Amino acid sequence: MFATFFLERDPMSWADLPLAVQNWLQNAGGVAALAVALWCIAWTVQNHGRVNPFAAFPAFVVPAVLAGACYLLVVLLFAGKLLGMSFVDEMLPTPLGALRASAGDWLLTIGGALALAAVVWPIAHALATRIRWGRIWAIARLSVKDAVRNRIVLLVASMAIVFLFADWFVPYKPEDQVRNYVRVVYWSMTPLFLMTASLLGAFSIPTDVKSQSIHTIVTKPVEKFEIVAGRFLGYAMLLSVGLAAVAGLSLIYVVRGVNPDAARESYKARVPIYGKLTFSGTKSIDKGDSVGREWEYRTYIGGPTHESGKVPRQYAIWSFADLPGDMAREDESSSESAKPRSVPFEFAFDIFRLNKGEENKGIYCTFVFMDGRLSIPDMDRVQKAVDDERRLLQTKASKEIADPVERQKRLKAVNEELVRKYGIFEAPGFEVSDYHTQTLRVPSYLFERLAELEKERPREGLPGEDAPPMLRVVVGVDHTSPTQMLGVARRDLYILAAEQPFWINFLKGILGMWCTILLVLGVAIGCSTYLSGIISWLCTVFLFGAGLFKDSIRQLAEGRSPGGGPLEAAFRIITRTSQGAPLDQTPTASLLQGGDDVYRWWMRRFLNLLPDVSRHDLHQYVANGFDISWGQVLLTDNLIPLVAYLLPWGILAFYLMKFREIANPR
Amino acid sequence: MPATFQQRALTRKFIYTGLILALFTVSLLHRRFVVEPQANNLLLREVSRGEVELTSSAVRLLLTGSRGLAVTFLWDAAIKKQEKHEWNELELLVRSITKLQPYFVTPWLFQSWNLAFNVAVECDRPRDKYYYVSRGLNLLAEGERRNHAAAADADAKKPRFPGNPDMRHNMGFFYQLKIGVSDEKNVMRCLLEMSAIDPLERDPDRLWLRTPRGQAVNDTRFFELCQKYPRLIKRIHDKFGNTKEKIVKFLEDNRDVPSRFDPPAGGLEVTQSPLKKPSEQFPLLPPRIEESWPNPESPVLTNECFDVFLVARTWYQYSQIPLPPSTRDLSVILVVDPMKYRLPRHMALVIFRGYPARAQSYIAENLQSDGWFDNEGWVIADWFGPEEVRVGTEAKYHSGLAWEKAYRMYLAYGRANGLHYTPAERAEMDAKAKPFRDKYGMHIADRNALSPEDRKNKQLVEGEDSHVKLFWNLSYRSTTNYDGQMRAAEAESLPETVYARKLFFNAEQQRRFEDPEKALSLYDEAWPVWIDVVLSNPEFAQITVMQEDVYELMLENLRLMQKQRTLTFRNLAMGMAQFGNWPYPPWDELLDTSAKIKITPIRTYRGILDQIVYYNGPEADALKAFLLQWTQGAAGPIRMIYPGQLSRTLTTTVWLGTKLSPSWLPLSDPMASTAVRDRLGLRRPPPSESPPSSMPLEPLRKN
Repeated sequence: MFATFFLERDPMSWADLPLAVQNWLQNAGGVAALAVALWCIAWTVQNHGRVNPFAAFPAFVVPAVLAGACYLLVVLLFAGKLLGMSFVDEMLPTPLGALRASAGDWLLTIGGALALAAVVWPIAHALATRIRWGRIWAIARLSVKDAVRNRIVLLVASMAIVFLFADWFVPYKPEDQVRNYVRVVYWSMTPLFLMTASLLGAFSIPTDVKSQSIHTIVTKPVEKFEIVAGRFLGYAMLLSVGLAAVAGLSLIYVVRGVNPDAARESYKARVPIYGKLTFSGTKSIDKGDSVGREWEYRTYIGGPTHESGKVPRQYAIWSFADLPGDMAREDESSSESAKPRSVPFEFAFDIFRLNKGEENKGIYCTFVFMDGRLSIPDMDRVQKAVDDERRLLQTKASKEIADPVERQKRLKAVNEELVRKYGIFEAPGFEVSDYHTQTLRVPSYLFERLAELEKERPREGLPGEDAPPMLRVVVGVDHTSPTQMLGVARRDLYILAAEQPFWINFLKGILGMWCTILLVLGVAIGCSTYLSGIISWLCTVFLFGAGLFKDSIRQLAEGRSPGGGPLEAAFRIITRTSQGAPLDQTPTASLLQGGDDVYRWWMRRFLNLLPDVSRHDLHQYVANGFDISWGQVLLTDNLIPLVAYLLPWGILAFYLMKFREIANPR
Repeated sequence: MPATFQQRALTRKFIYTGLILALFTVSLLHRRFVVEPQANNLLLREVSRGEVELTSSAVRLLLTGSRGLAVTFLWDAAIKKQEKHEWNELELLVRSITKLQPYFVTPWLFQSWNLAFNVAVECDRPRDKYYYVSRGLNLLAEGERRNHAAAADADAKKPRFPGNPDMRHNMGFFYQLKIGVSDEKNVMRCLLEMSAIDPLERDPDRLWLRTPRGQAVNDTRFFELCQKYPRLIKRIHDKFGNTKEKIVKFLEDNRDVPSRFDPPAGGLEVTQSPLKKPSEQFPLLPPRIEESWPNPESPVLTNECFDVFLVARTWYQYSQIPLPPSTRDLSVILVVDPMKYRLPRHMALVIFRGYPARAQSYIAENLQSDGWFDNEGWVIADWFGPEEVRVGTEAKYHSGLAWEKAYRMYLAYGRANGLHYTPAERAEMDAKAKPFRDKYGMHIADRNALSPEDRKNKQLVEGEDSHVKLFWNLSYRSTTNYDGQMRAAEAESLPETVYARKLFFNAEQQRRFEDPEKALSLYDEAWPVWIDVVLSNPEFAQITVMQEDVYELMLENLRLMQKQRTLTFRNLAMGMAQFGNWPYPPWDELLDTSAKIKITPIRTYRGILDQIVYYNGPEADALKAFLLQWTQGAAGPIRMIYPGQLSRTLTTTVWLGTKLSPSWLPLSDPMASTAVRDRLGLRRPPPSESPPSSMPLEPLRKN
């Protein structure tokens, strides 16, 4: 059941990083700017102009003033729009995801960066002058001892129950064995460690404060932030060791007695190369037809109908911009003594039947692998030429060669010759079953030919367009399966570049869980610098819980939820208006929709506070046997966002702890 | 000396301890002798409800008051998983939901349906569908076990939780719909039969033989398999592959179906796989309560021929147990003690009670459709050497006997539930009802109540009672289609019907795969037998479904005849066309070769079933007998009456469109014929308002 592997959002790549940094600077910087503004007002009120701030805090005031200037310019842009100055329209900040950043975006980014610089400067100064790693390390060791003494870490021992009894309650289809085991292990480990992390983080500092043991520390030459950092480091180490131990045992639990079906489906780590999916013959080039499923991850292409000829035939086309060299490998499944070299393509599609078809048969599709420069009309033309020539050559070979073995060899050679000549390889009449990974091996000589073509005539795009892809894979439903539909998504077909061991992938997946644990620990400790233990814990649980539903909240914040915002939805319920029907533009409706706009604005601000928890859940990769790449998935999509989320919490914790009245020397 | 403080404290401690012990003992005794018997009597204990599961109880206790919240969350998550086709996770969630509320029947029913229907239908491969059907059934069976009295408590004196008829019925219904009559019923039924067979017996590794030329089928083992499971092998042969190799390949592709057996431990010397616990087997069956039911605790499941409807029938029979006893008086409004009995929630009781007999008639139908009729069995021509081999000759493969059993079951069902009265009983009741009907001027289908004055008249009261019984008898016979089902079962069990069906089946097989000429001769042999059958059983002859089936066969026969006798039909058609017009056009010269080819097949054709009509008026049998005897006697010397002559009396043929008097009926009702023609696309579309011009010879071309 490979089709359960889906990624509705692509992992962040290096190319996405600049935009992500810009977004982060705008959001985190916006909060920092607000804090700076509040601090400035408070400071001014308290000092009544007795102290010259430029002289007192030059490193703080200069960036703060510059940030203020940037934000002021943004305000002026909006004011200009209100005053009807049309030339400012292009300069206004754009919504998230816009292709080009406007001047307003740059102002917000620079302003945010400056505001952050202003608040980070005292921390950097403290790090450079007062904070000592030795003291942090000592507090970290103390934290570990505390936790071990309190036996809170024994919570993780309850995993033993899962290992002992889970088998009783986990039914599985043979091919789903590994998948289900992985899910059970992840589902068990995640709440267990998150609970431990949140309890440790939320209650440690408040307990120290309550028991007044913190006074014995802060009266020593210890910076308050060193306590926060030490606690974080200590608990992180402790949880990491626990996680490593439990992950090791879980791995043993998962890998024992894997049945062959499950091994074939998911006991591996495929390294895929994905192409870009487009369509031909459908209403849109980006989408196939809809068959009315609620979940629109896959769209569909239809088989030929009685109207064929009147309407264009539908194809799904995967374009691979570039192909790494030497992907070909020997086909182990071949019965021949000299194993032919080929490139494996794996795929798993969804089938949607419009009629019963033939019992116990899948639907039949044709796969065409061709030079990326060829279009669909080219393909039809070239295929016809290939068919004609093949028929001619095969007839000739059949006549000339009497020995069946030799004739077979010759016919094979004819095929190779034609692929080399035209740069197109066709696999017709391939029976597709849904929810199962299937493999198609494409002979290596096609790729050799593509490489030759690339050398002879390097690909060039038209002016203003990208160069054509190196390879196109065209999939269409055959005439033998009329009126049947094939559901496809971008990740449903890929080149299998390599296969890695399952166990490494499993441990990489655990790294995702580790990120989640650190996130929860960081938030809990951040909250506990100011709030009491139980309130900190509840805040952490709330933020984490809301993070789980971030997609739904985002839908609400961006006005994509059916039925409108809360006020409009309430109005619809009272007036019994269906979700899809447009509201009459009465003053009441306008007022309510205006209220919803305000609500959405606040929700968008609130959204930025929530952690993106689902990003760190990598069990889908492991369970379905797909490699978690070190670069794109682990580093750019997990570690960098984790640091980006925890950094503002660290800054907040620094200030909250600094201004907290605990044996304050100054 | 007054007691010291310590002494008083000690005394107080003793008193308190004594009080605690006394109260504890009293509470224990109270629980043992008062609370527990009451709980047992009121069936409030978990053990009274059915199987108890420790984890489920523990989780529910742990969740304390937040069970509703957890269930709501899980339900929502399950919907999302289903949307995204994550079936394996969906099943985990569904199982959690049902564990949290095991005595709420609706989630069991809903989610098992969800798995067996909505999830299964999303899979394309039949064996994947089969897996999820099995999971749905597994879930429902678990729910049923959680909601019926444990077998260990089967003490007649103790009150017992009556069990849930809906869950049991749905088990049978799921089998029926998803395996018995689904789009992929042939594969599904093969897979079900494979599930019931020991995996060692159908182990492809044992059925393949390594030879120097590659892989071949081990004839000895394959023959054993054919002998033991002829129906399975024949079905695979007929539907999915007619060679031994293809059959073994089918078994190989589907070797991992859910099974009744655990994988065998040991090597090739092991001859039997260990049987799973009944609750873990598939197909799932209820505990064996009657001797005739399949026994899940035995490797040999049943002595009957295994069929999906056998499993369904057993569940339907099991679903009757929680029902109150049957009554012949259908006018009685049932008041049921829920401590003893339960009623189905969504179905009329009398329909519910008819399901076991219906399942039995499906068993018989399936035997027929698979080609099992009598002791001729299945003749295997060229698999095991030059000689023919005959398998499946045992009585359990005889469709006539299966129909006979269905007839007996229908009769018992009708007798027990007031649907079936003997002619004598009916005459007596009619006689009793007559004064009441006469008094109020009523027909059997009318209802009226006695006036208070008439209620003093005993004869009228009895008459009303009889009338009401007959009224409800009529109403429910119509609701349940009792007459049609029972008459069909009765007629199909007759040897001549079985023979005619066999001829039709063989003719169809020959038409499809082998020898069309032989098919035509078999059809020719079958029609007279069939005509006799329907004329001898006029009630059977009026069953619409049967009429449609046979009419379709007739059309196939006629189409084949046109195909095989093209020249004859073409010449005949041209001759007819020539005679139909004056002056006679020279068609032979006017038409070119391609136009002549298009003359056949003729799409609008009629056959024997469209022509024969028979008398079905009052006292038809007596009139026929009288006429036959009179005509035979009047003809001079005494003549023998040949078989079927009585039923053919008062039978004639008419032209299409002839208006019949009400007492005469056609063998095939025009409605049924039209339905079949529509289904096969044989009816002409209504003529369009502006027919295309310049189309020479349009009438002939249409034909």
